[in-house]
Amino acid sequence: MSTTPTLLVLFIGLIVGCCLGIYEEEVGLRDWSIRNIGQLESVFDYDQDLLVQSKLLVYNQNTNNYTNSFSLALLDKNTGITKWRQLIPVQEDTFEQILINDLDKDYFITISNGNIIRYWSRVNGELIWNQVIVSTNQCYQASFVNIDTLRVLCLDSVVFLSIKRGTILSSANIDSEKNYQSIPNTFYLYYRDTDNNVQFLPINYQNSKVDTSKSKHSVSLDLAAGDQVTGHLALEGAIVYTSSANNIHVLDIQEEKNGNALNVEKQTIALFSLIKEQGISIVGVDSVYPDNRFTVVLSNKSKLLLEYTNRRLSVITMIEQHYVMVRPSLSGQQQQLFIGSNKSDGKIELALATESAKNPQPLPMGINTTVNGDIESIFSTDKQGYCLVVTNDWAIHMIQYSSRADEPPILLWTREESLSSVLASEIIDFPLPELAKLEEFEYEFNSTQGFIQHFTRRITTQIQDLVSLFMGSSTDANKDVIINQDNGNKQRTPKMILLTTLAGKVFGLSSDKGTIVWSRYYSDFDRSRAESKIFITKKTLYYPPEAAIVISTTSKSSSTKSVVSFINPLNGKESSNKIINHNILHASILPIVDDHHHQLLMIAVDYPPNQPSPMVQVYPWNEYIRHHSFASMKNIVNYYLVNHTAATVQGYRIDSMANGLKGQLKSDPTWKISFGANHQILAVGSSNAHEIIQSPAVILGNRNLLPKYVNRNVISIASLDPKLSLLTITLVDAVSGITIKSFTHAHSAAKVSIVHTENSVVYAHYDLTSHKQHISVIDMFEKTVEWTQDTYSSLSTSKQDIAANLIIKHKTFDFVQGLIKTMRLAITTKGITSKNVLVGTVSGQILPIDKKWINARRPTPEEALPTDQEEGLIPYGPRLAFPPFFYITFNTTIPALRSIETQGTDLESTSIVLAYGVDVFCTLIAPSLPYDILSDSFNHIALIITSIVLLILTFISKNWKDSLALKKKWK
Amino acid sequence: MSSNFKNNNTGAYTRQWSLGSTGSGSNSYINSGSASTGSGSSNTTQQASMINNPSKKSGLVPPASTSPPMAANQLTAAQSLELKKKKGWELAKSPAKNILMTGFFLWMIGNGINIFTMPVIIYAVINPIKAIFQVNAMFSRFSDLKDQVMEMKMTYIGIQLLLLGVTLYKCSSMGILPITQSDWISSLPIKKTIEFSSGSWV
Repeated sequence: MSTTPTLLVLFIGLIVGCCLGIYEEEVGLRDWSIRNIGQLESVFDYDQDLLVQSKLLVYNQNTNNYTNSFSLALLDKNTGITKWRQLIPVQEDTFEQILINDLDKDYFITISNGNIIRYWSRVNGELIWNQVIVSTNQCYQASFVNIDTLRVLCLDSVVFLSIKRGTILSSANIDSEKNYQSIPNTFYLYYRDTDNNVQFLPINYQNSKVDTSKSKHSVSLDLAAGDQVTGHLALEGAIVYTSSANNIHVLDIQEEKNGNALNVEKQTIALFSLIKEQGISIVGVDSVYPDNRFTVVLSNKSKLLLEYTNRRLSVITMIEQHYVMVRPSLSGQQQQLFIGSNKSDGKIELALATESAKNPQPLPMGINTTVNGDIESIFSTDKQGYCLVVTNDWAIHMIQYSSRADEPPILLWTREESLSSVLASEIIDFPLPELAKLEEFEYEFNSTQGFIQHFTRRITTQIQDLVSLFMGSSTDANKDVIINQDNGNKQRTPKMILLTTLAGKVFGLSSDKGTIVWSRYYSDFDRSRAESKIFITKKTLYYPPEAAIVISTTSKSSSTKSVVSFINPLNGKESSNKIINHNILHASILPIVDDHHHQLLMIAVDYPPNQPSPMVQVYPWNEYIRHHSFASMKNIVNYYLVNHTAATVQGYRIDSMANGLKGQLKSDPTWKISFGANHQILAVGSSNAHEIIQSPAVILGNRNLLPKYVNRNVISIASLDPKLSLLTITLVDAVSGITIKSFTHAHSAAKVSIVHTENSVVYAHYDLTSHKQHISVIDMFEKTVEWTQDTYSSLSTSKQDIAANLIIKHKTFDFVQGLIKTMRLAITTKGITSKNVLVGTVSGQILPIDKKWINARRPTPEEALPTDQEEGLIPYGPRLAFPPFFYITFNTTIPALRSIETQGTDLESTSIVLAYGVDVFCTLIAPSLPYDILSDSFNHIALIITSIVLLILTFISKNWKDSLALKKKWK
Repeated sequence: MSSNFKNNNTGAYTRQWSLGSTGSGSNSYINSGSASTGSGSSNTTQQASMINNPSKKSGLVPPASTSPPMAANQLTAAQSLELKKKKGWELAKSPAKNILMTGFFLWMIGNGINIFTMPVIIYAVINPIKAIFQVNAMFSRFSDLKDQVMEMKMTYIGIQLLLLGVTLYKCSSMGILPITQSDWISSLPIKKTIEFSSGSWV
């Protein structure tokens, strides 16, 4: 009887295993992800592994700024690969301490958010327990009292916790104004009162209760009049104070054997008894290192490394200003005292502070200030010469250092952690094979090129392809791009992913594996403004391609400054740049191409400042553009600016040339919509420039046409009245400023995502009363269409015409699979494949939803007609629920998902999807199944063998038949 | 009366058809021929060619060449013409019998487009068209009816068109006739917006 439950459990386990196995098979087949840990803050060495704590900057859309978040990870020391990673919840915006359990190093303690204590396992990152100290949120220091007890020092209390269970054992209140600090390896706390007396307070935990019975102690620092304390730190058995009179006061602490009393001896050492240089004063103390070493910061920004042993203070070395000192190790772990140089000549060097800084070793090739910026921090993890160097671009370099001059430092691995804060992205083709290029040309062929030119190009391209086939070499010009495709790559022609990051580093990643092909660091990037955009100004089809990177840069003056950097997106090399000494209001690519296939880049700048007619600059501005495109540009180019604070949307039109020689134009305000001071503009949606529209109408069940209202200038503005929680979605023609229609939703939260596709606007909003995530859709159709016209002009369409001619449908659905963070349209190359909306959830997963589910024309079941069924309309149901295997992220997530980018591939059925948050994730999706590609399981060999066998059999049977016929005739 | 003579000048046979003059042989042939017209236009065509050269296919020897003419049994010219006219109209109306059957058959095959339905539809379209184009050959033996042969032809064509209409109706219900707006959607322009707009947050 007992075997039945066992078999049942085994059976269930087998099924679960199979299910997990299915996921495992799928994960990584068509996707890759880069798992980031963020800016390194502390490291603990475990022989083969590194336990790291780092800071992540997570974008908050509501406040439009970045909030601190924190992560813990275990890295393989030899490869830098994460063995596990744990993200501290994003709402915890402070991280106070990470403390290794000295008695059992497989466990460690963290304090975050001021009052959340967590106990972790180092082996697998498992959270053993967490405890919230509800009475305060200002806990800042933890220490182990004994094998069972943890002491947490808060501003107004000392709390003792059980290490095994995390329960609070006891607590004692302390004066919150005294800001107590602990002394290592004692149960004493100390603070300095206003009379410069150092008070010692004993708080111990014995016999299940707090023991404060031991005697208190007080020592006067005996400061002279006007002398003030500038800093303090606690060593093992000593407390060091520095004062403005350039004295270092050391309080040597000795506990009596019975532990009931404290012997404190004071020494005062003048700075100038330690160093020879004159005219230097003490600014404060900096860090404590193992072996009772610490640094004192001097007025010339250099640091003095001191050591206190045997009741004697001695100088180890003076560390000059341009050196960065190694960070103190966690839990007093042994380390080598490295210093790294930030010299003005751009070299990065590493040396040992304890020996001599005169023999610095240059870091390996590839790490320099041009590529990585200056050294930001150094972490030494052991005594073996391993150290982690963090540069300004947030990159973490694992260096193996040898002090011998003939053994230069070796770079073991590098992690590009700036990828944890991606600002903008763009996807561009690699140089195409010749035949694919031919297809592209055919697709782009239009009447302006002429038949002869098109035909000539076709013949030329085919001849080139033949020549390259026989010569065994490609005629593609991209010899500088090397992509390793040795891992069974599923992408026929990979693409280059361009990413700009908050650290100011721009990356070029190959879409097949996510390898970093190139990177480019903009050292003067203004991280506080964090404005960065990428535009493809010249396609790969017209080699060499070009991308424009518009970034805000730091300026010595108070005025804002930006740079437009034109680079080759395939190798990251900059071809030119433009410095713009004004605030950039708007930047966009225009649908106008010059004679060298450059698409025009338009930049509206706030010049003259705060004037109603901003100046517009256009790049490139050349003779061709001036003569051929300027007149049309004046009439067609519009832009709008959304003012977040004033809740207004202002439209502009390029009006007249202000300075034709430099490509500067003037823009005039044309329309303005004000939502009122008490409103917030949450989001503005517009059509995706990459989207190709294939069908101008919907085919109804009776085979008539319902024309779509395709106007790429329609924008949707989501505004919220916070008092009433009233969400308004307003559809506006961004050229004429005509309000087409508006919809309102009561009880809405301040989070809206919008996607435009063809004639539809899909938006996600959250209902506060029903606690439901909604997806609404607006579909716009026209009653009558003049099919003979192939253009649409917003300026020649009046509001009455729009009102009379438009059919606008609206439907709302419940999305039951979590809160929606962002949405994006899945783009395909020619727009034939059915449209899919990619929904990114707050949990970091991505779900593609076919547009047929989010259709405003879905009839209610009782109203459904046979023609609706014929058309394929799905009867309306309020719930949008999809099976979990629809998620393209499978069982993985993208923490703090920020945005999704898509692009078509060379196969119409397939889209490439890039999503980024803390991680960067890329996958291929086939929204309507891969109808133009053979499946992975297709047996090519069987097909070939069958064909050959059939051919042979045909040949044999033919001969046999002939011989039979011959024999018959001879009979 | 002799029927087939070789023209010495041209080397071609001149055919003069004599109905009923030789008794049951000729009549039975015509009867069997006219009966076979009911089975479809292809049979009608075959029959027409057999009528043109009966000795070739049927193996029947025209009686005129073997038996002496019997004046008592011979029809008058008027009767012959009347009979010919009757047979002509029979031939002209013969496809009408197929309309119902074709309609029923087309109804039975359903509206699905697959390898079984398409041959039926294709033959149902091709046969009337082929019959219309062969109408002159079909009615060549009635050429001496002068003005009435045209009416016969028109009737024959009309019925064939009716058959074609039934088939085309079937095609349209199957959705393979480009007669709706949706069939021409690929030729409709996707309107390009003349103006261009983009926006930013400030």
